Amino acid sequence: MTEPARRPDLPGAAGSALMLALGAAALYFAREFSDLGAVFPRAIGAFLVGLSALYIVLVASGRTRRAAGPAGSHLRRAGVAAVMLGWAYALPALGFLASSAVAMTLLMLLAQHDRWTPRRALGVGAGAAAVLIGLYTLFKLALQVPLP
Amino acid sequence: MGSLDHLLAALTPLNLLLALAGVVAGTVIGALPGLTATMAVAVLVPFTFSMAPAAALIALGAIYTGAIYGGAYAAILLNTPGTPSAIATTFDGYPMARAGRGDLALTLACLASVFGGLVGAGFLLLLAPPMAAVALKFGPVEYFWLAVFGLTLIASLGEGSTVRGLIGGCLGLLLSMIGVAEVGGDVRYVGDFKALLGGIDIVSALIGLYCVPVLIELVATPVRHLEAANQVAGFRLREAAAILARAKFNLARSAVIGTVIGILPGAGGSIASLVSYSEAKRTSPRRDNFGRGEPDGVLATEAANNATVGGGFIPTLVLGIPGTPPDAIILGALLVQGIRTGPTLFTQQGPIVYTFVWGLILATLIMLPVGLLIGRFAFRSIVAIPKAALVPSVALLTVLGSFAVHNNTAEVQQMVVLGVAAWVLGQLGFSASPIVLGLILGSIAEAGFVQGHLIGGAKGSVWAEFLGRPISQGIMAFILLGLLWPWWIKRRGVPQEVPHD
Amino acid sequence: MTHFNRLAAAALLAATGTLAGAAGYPDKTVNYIIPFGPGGESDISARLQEPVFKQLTGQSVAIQYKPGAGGAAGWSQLNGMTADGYTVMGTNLPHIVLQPLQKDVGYQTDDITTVYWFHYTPDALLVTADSPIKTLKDFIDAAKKAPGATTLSGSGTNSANHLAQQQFDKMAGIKTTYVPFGGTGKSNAALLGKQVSGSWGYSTVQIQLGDQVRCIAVAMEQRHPKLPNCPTFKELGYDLVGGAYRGVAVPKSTPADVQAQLAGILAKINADPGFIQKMEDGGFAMLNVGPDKMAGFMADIKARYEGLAKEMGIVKK
Repeated sequence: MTEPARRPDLPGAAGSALMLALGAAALYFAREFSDLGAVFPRAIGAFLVGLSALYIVLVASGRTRRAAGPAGSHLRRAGVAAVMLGWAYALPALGFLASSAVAMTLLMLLAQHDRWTPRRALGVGAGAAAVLIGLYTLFKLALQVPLP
Repeated sequence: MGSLDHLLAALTPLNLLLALAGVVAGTVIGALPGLTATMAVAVLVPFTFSMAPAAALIALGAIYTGAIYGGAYAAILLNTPGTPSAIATTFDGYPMARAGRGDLALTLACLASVFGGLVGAGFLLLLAPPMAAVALKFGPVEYFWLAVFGLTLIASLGEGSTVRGLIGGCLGLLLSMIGVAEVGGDVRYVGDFKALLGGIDIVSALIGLYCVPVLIELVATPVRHLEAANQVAGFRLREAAAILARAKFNLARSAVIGTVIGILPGAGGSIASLVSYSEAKRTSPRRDNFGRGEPDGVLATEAANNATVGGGFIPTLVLGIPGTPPDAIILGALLVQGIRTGPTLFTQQGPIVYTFVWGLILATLIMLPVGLLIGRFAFRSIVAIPKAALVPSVALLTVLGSFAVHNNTAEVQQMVVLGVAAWVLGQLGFSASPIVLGLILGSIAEAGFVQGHLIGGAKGSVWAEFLGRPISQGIMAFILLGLLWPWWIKRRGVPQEVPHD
Repeated sequence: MTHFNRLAAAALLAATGTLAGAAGYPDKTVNYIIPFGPGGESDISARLQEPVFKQLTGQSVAIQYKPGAGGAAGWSQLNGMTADGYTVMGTNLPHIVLQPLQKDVGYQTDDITTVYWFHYTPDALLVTADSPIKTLKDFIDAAKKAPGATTLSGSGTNSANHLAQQQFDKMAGIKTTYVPFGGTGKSNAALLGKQVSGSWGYSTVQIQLGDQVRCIAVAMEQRHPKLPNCPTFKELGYDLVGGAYRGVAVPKSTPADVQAQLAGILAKINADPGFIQKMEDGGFAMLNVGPDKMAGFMADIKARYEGLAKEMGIVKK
């Protein structure tokens, strides 16, 4: 099995830097905790800082391997993230059905790569609507969950 | 002891109907991410008030076991554990699905769950009181070491760099400390977000960390989500049977591990499946294939988590201490019925208890055909649905599920934020499973540590407390074994068995 | 006579009007949120109320759990919930007084509008049945011989169990080590497994665990009807009466008449002989503090706990 070329794992190093910062923050905020309550935060914070530093050193000394980047459309990916975030924060404001209908439609558009034909649009749209209504009824009536 | 009368009592049409309905309802609810076994049982309790105690128990037990099994569906098909006990099923179940063997994975999950459930129920029937005594021997220090054992699994998950995995685990541990500390009462890392006072909810975190990255990736390319099984119609039972025959020891060991961990109050299906997965991987000749679609992985986790159902009833019925959250609800339901659990239960209310246990066994058996059928249906649907409809539907499930846990929109927001963060981290090379492990095991480890520290201090020596207890020493031995074994095997140059499809 | 009849008729009419519900309350399912996990005393007492509620009003109760931060997660969100009387939440003392005193938990004691306090679980000192400690005197002697060596499990930090341990330590002049666990179930497991020497629990725990444990003393005015062999602290010379109180609260902006109706229903449930029997069988002690007595009760209790908290040094703000 041929090993992929040893390119430095820069994304990993970036992530580790972030983790290092988090660990440091954890240690910083743990100053105000009671003795017993601070044991774990201090220990884990220390580990985070230590391990992240270790990894950055590994990257710097060329001992890491970087996987190939993901294929496919980054724009769509970002779109899904944005839609999901918007959906979650719109829930209390717009109510469940409204925000879900909008979000689901947007997701449908993002997920469909081939061209839209009227038949396809109708089919998928009807299917998604059915799922929305069905699950809404299941949760609200059968399971008595008070959806916003 | 359970005699023929009790078995016959369990075989009434009403009880059988309840068992069937319970298993079906439980499986469906467990399959939906965000709906846990606890929720399924809680919703049904009011209906049981008008039933006879044995019938009520059978209904609740059937739902519980169905829900634990159902969690495997989303785990295998969508990489999202339907219940926390199915986390480890994603490790190998999802890769199998991606490789076109999803239906095989589902069948294996069903068979393993039935087997595990039967073993757990068997222990409940025959060995409940002695097992309960074993459960009591586990103190805070044992829980701590058990949690550490679960965390060492991170090192052996081996998705790329071990260091990155450990970092992810530490992040999870840090996340578990958000909120009010169970011991000490400090408010930690909450800032101005009052919604975080209760800590990060595990179920919505699971949904976010596992499912949202999948959704994000799904839209990136037009490739179908799962390949339909090539030629094989039916349940692939022959294949499954062959795999099972080869994995006899794995199955047995996993079911026992599941039962034993099930009897420990507060441990539950997630820990049971993690530990049995870890052991299965350590002792398998195909250990490098674990995490890439090794059937033995699915068998280990599903057998263990269904064994916790029967196991969890042991402390619940014998000691009056609930083994898992659904058990706590069932205890409450029994109390309303006037049934007091505890040592007198087996003697004074023997008929009710034994009828219930036989009913649980029957429900588990019923799960076999029911589970296979529902599984086939789920598989066909997921495979057939075009992405344009699948993505919004699954997204809807995540939103509904994370909301339904505590009827809280804040948790939907938590779920999405964690999910997007998980995708970003995934791209940077930090996968979700170590983080999840840290999150779940963090509170157990910390509570065990602090309590052990207090007790050890009172007794005079903290070190003796942590290192001197026999059961703890046993667990520590396993930890060392788990860490050193793979390294030692490599050194000895034992040839790896090449997995053949 | 006519005057009396008219008065009686008016009273009857008013009573019928109240029963029928001026606003038709309740005319759908009521969400009863328990700010703890399932299986605890709050859950069990709510479950016992459930069928009686249904019987009296024809409407059912949907019990949900919102655990976290020892109840604070639920209480801090209470006033943001729909205030139409169909969302109610369990409340607990000493929690809602002690928690805001120690730290910023997202609510103040006065933010919580409790409509009715319907029972309390008296503190009880428990050991395993085979423990060498048989009486309170044995316990105190053992604690005095080895200060700090006696470990006592309990549910939560700065909770009723913890408070009881601190109070009694002071009264008896001893020093014990309190080991907090995440819930009564785990605390009981530690007791039964002999991980600790004893446990500060409630009378309910004694009933639940039956012959496996021995109740050394209970914090009531008189012995509990179901625990005839367990002496009270008072009769042994220690003025320790109290425990964890439980009630039902609503969001602050719930209309007054709905609150009154809810209180009325809860009072009726509390008067139901079957309910009382089941509660007492479970080890609970009944209590009836409705809207009329609420202000006085709360003022009393707050003063008591605030004093204790200052003594214990847990007032951090």
